[in-house]
Amino acid sequence: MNARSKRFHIQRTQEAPPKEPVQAYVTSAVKLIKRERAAISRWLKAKHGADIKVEYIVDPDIIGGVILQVGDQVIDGSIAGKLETLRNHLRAAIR
Amino acid sequence: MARLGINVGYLFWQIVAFGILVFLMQRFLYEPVLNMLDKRAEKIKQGLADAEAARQRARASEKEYADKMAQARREANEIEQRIVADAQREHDAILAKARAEVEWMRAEAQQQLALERAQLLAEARKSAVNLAVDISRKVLGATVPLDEDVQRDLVRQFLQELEAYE
Repeated sequence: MNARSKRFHIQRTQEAPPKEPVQAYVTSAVKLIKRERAAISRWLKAKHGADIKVEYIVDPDIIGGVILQVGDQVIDGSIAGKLETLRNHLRAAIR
Repeated sequence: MARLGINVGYLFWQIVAFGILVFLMQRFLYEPVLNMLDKRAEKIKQGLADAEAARQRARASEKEYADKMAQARREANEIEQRIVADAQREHDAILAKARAEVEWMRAEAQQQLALERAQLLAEARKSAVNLAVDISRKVLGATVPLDEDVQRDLVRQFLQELEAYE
């Protein structure tokens, strides 16, 4: 379990107070610039309300792209995720 | 009679003596001899009849022996044929069973071979996929990190996808 997953696990299992802000994790292979962070923050507030807390993580293992995680929802736009999807599709195709 | 030189008295006694002689011969010679001859003839006849009966019995025995021998030969032949047929049937059954077992073993081996081949092929394909993805991963980032422009472009693509995400 990596650091991101551990945090996600802790966040899910803890009883959150009713008014605690929603926690979001944004993982990228390189540090996001201000404009990119702003775009992601806008999208998160539009979808989950203004009371949201965003943590930005840099993980070169994802190679490129971004992984966005809010609660149970995960949007994987990383190269590593696409490669895993490709691997699963190829395995399913040759079965 | 006298003129003929025949003495009548002498003739009479001669006739009487001849009669007595005939009587005696008839009584003590001819009858026993004839009886003996009759008995002899009867005995010979009986012997011939016995011989014929014995010959008939011998022929019957010979025929019976020949029949029994023929019957014994027939039975021996039947037994021999039955034994040969049984042996042939057993031989055929054993041969058929052996052939069936060989066929089953060959089919089993072929099935096992096909299964192992399929497993090996699946493993090879899986390994090929893993290898291809791992090589792609290394080429794309692990060994040579993507340059800044590519990274920015990937983030921009993600943001575009995010805008379309419901």
